[in-house]
Order: sequence, then structure tokens, then C-alpha cells
Amino acid sequence: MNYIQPFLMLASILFCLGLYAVITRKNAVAILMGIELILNSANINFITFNRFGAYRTLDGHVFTIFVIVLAAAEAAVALAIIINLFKNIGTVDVDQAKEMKG
Amino acid sequence: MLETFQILSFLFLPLLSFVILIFFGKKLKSHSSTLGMFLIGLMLTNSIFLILKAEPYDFVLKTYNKWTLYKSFEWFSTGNFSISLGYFVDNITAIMLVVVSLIGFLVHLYSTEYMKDDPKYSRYFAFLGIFIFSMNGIVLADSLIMIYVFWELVGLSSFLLIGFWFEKEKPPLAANKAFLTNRVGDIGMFIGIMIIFFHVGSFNINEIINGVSDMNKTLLTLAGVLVFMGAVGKSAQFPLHIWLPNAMEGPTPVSALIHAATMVAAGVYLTFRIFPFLTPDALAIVAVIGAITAVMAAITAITRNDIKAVLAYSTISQLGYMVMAVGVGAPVYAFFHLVTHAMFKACLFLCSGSVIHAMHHSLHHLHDHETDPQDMNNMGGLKSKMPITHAAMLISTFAIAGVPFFSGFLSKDGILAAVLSYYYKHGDWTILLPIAGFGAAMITAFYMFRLIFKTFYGESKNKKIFKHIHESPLPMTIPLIILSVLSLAFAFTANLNPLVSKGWFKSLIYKYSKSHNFMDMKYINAGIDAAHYDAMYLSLFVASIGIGFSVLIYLLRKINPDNISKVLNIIGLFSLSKNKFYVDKIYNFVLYRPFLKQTQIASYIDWDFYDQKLIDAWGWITLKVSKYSGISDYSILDQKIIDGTSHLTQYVSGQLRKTQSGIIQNYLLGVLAVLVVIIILINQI
Repeated sequence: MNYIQPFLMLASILFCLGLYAVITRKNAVAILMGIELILNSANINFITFNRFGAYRTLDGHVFTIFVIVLAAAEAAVALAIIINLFKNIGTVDVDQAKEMKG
Repeated sequence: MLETFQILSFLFLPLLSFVILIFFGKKLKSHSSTLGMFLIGLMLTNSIFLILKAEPYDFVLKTYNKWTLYKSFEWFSTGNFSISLGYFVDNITAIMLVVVSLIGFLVHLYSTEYMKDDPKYSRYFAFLGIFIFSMNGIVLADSLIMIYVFWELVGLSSFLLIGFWFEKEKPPLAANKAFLTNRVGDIGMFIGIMIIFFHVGSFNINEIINGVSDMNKTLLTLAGVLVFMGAVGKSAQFPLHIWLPNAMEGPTPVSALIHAATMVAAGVYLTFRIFPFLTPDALAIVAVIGAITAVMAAITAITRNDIKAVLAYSTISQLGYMVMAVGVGAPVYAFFHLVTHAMFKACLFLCSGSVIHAMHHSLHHLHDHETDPQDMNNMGGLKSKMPITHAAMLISTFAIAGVPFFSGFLSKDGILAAVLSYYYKHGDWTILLPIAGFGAAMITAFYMFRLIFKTFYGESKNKKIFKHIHESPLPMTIPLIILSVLSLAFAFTANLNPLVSKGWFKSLIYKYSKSHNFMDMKYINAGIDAAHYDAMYLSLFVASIGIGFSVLIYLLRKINPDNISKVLNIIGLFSLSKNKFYVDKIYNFVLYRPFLKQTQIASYIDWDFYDQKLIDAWGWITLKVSKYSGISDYSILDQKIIDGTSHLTQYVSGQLRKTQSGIIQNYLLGVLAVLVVIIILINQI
């Protein structure tokens, strides 16, 4: 396991999948899941560059833990919004949430 | 100080009368005449006190004291140029002040009755006040410019009083005519004053007399004649005499005061004052103008039927005499005649006023508003009804005709002697001057007695009017009595022998025959004295011819006047007289018509050509230009460019709005695309 490319490839694939999900999905929950994927691809990048970087520090790990914590908080807030959205308009389809469209 | 106050009161008393009456006249009503009379009476008393101070000439010792009062103060100054006002009082001024005050006072008294029922009663007396103020200003003035100022003021008061009955048709026109005709003379006068001023550097008459000696003679002649032009206008001399007959439209007492006794004499007074520096050439012109006026007006007077018109032309004729006297170098006799004429002519006018007043009342009684109360053809035989008026008028007619023992004889004789001696000295064409003088004297006697006979003698022409004629009341007859007494020779000389006329009056004015800048007055005076007897016999002769003819034609009716007129008409004299020498017609033809034509042309050029063609063309061009300018502005600039910008903005924003979908995923896609592009670009570098 001395090569960086497989890790970066994995991260890119995860990022693209997540991005794809965010752009194409109508379901708010699916978008949220896409965002989680993007965050995780970023986490993999942090870990990877930490492992293959010049200095053996724990910076990447620390950042990753912060991201996971923030992702958990974000998931909680987002889910709360989605529930409220569902309560108000009876669906979680983001295209339906357009009352504020100019 | 007291002296100054005394002199200035001659200005302030009448001015006070004017100011009070013009502001409070409506409240004072009939008391306004009392107030005016009181103030003018004060002035009269004052003037008598003043004349008592005058120093007479001693004919035995041949000496006199130079009694003069004068004071002047600066009016205004700009740079090194200053104009001063002041008074100069000598014997002449004192006499003039007495004449103006006396006749002014008598006219006030007379007018209380004559103007009794007039609605503008108080205003009339106010105007009399401002007239007397301005006349005293002329008399007192020590400089030509001050004379000029008051000269215009008497013109104004004359204008106001001629047009006093402005609600009638003729008086305003007559007032305009008088004013405009006077302006012609006044312009000349002003130019003359200015020419003298720029050479002498002073307006003061005494300084001018001392200062003109080294002036160019031709220029001085011109200046003298120009200043004299003012006198031609004011004293109604040919060719500017046309206003005076029309001025008779004013109330008769006004005619007596202004247009017979005082204002018209102002011209003679001015000529008298400037006499010492008039060159012999200028004096010759003055004499000729006087002679022409005297004869022409006398001939015109013969055929007048309006009682006041006869007197008006007679006034012009007598003023001609005075001017002629100044011209031939006898200003003393001119002034003497001025004073005697003031008395008898004022008396004549007031008598005619009395007659007109009586006629008017009679006509009023009969409810006749068609008949002319001034037409002598409606009078006749008034002697029995109006004895006082008749007596006064007869005395003053004797005076004007030059009958011995009456004042006119003394002064007229002096003038005729001066004219005769002028001829003796110069010969040649100057024979025309004595011919004019004696001819006018004869005609004067003739037409004045014609007036008397037609008015007071013979059968009355209109019995109905005659029945209601009454003598005028006391306020009107008292002035007549006073003035007729002053028309007697004894008023002017205590010497009962009329041949030696050196009375108190002449001794007061005699010293003025002593000085002239360019002529030896001793020589001239000797000539006048030498010609005195010739002139007297001749004048008695011509006066008796005139009176005799008048008696034959109008009193005894031995000769039919129509035959005379036919005989005279062979040389065109009668129609000349009848048509006032065609002067008005000539002016109409030579001056007014061309002037009207000129104004018509000017109006044509201005309106039809300039206004309608040029100005309107500009309007038309502007209209066209603005139309195209409007099109280009609205259709091109406004609609295409301005509106086009907004259309473009609207289109672009319409297109751009589509990108604002509100769908976050679209934006995200956009962000991704841009990011990809940026990354590719960065890698390219």
C-alpha cells in the first residue's frame, strides 16, 4: 500500500457520486446523503495526504474528526429542516419548495 | 435775511395757495377763492412795499442809484460745473411783480363771480396760484437757466388753464396746440442758452452781459436769435402766433391774466433782459418779426366776429409792437408798453368776460344752448344795460388806440418814435418798419372801435337775448374800474401835458436805455427824442383815420362794410384777413400733412413691411425649424435612441431572467461548470 493514486481515485469517485446525487436527486434526503458522500471523500483526502505527506503529524486525522462532528451536526440540522419541509408542504421534493421564488 | 424772506414770499405765497387748494380745495369749497385772494393780496401789498424802495432816475441831475437786491446759491454741481439759483431784483423786477400781483389779485376777485357755479371752482384757483408762482419765478430769476425752468412752468400752467374745461371738445385741443407750439420756441431757446453757456461759462444774465464781448459775432447773433425764439413762442410772435387765438378756449379771466397781461409778456420781458447782448443783426431780425406780427395780427383782427378772438389778435399785434421796439433799440418803451398794455388789455378781456357772462346768463335764462355767447353779431346796444362795463371798455379802447390822455398813447408813441428814428438812421428797406408800425396803429384803432360799436352801440341784434342782459355784479365790476383808471395816462405820469411824458414810471425804467454791448445808446436815445414829435403827429393822424373809418362804418353806418371788403379784396387783403393769412392752412399743408404722411409711411414700413413681412417671416421660419426639430427630437432621439436603450435593456433582462430559475441544483451545476473551466484554464497555464 505505498501508492497514493488508489486513495485519490476512491476519493474522486466518492466526490463525483456525491455531486451527482446532489445535482440530480429531487428528494431532499437523497441530496443530504450526496452531501455526506462529498464530505467523506474530503475526509479520505485528508487522511490520504496525512499518510503520504512529508511530515508525520496528526493534522489530517484531527480535521477528519472535526468534519465528522460537523457532518453529524449538519445532518441533524438538515434532517430537522427536511421534517419541517415535509410538515409544511407534505413532500420532501426540493422542486416543490418554491414559495420564495422571485 | 428779512429782505430775502420778502423776495422769496413772492414765490411761496402763490405756491402755498396752490398746494393748499389742490389738497384741501374740496373741503374749502367756496372759501378757496377767499384763501387764494388773501395770499395774493398779501403778495400785492408786499410788491407795493418793494416798489417803494425802487430808485428813480433823476432827469435833472442825470443820476440814479443802482438799487438792486440779489442773492444766489448753488443748486447743484458736478465736477467743476455748477448751476446756481438766485434772484435779481431791480426796478424792472419790482414793476413786473406789481403788475403780476395786481392783475393776479383782480383776476382772483373777478373769478369769484365769473367761475361761481363751476364744479372745479377750487382747482381753478389752485391753477391760478401755480401760474402766479411760475410767473414770479421768471421775473425774479437771475439766470437764463432759471428763467427757462419757470418758462416751462408757465407753459404748464397755461396748458392747465386753457384746457380747464377739458370735458368740452375744443379746450384740450387748444391746450395741446399751445403747449406744442411753445415747445418749438423753447427748444430754440434752450439751444441758444447752451451756446452762450459754453462760451461764457455762466447762466447768470449779468455775467453773460459782461462776458459775451469777446465772443464770435456771428455765433452771438445766432445764439441771440435762438434765445429770442423762446420769446417768439411764448409771446405769440409770427410764425408761432397760431396758439394764442385758440388759447381763448380757456376761461376769460385766465385769458386776461395769462394770455394778455403777464405770461405772453414774459417773452418781451426776456427779450428786454437779453437786449444788452443782442447784436445789431439779431436786433434787426427781432424788429422785423415784431413788425410782421403787429401788422398781420391787426389785419386778421378786423374780420373776427368772436369778441375774444378780436382781443386775442389785438394782443398778438401789441406784443409785436413791443418786440419791434426792443428790436429797434428802445427796450424801455417796450417795457413801458408791456405795463400799459397789461392794464388796458386785462381790462378789455375782463370787460369782454363781463359781456360774455351777461350773454351766457341771458342765453341760459332762455334755455338757448345753440347761440354763441361770444359772437358779436348777437350783441349790440349793450351800452344802456351794462354802463360800467361799457365805460371801462371804452377807456381801455381809447388807451389801446393811442388816444392822448390815455396810457397807450404814451407808450405806443415812444415805440413809434423809436421805429421812425430807426428808419431815419438806417434808411433803405427799414421804411417797412414804420409803415408796419403806423399801419398797425391805424388798424388797431379801427378794429377796436368796431368791437365797441358792434357790442355796445346801435340796435341790439337779438331782442330776446337783449331783454335778459344785466350788468355784472360788484366783484366783476370793481376790477374793471381799477384797471380802467390805471389805463389813464395820469396813472403813469403826473404831468398833465401828454407831450412831455416823463412821469414817475419812466424815471424808474429810464436807466435801462443806457447800456448795450455793441451800440451807442446815447446816439439812439437822441434819435428817438428827435423823432418824437414826427411820430406823435403821425400816430395821432393814423389813429384818427382808424377811429374815423370805424365811426363811419359801424356807428353812423354811412359806408357799407361789404363794399369796403370788395374794394380791399382787389388786392386780396380781405380774404387774407378772413383766413388769418392762411397761416394755419399753410402749416396744415407744409407741416402737419407731410408729417402725417410721413407717419403713415413709417407706420406702413413698420407694420405692413417690417412687422408683417420680416418679423412674421421669422415666426414662420421658427415654426418650420421647430417642426423639424420636433420631429427629429421625438421620432429619432426620443423614440429610437432613448426608447431603444430601454427596449434593449428590457430584452436583455428578459433573457437574463431565465437564468434565475430558483432551482439550487441548476446553480450548483453552473458553479461546477465554471469550476471545471477554471481548473482547465489553470492547468493550461
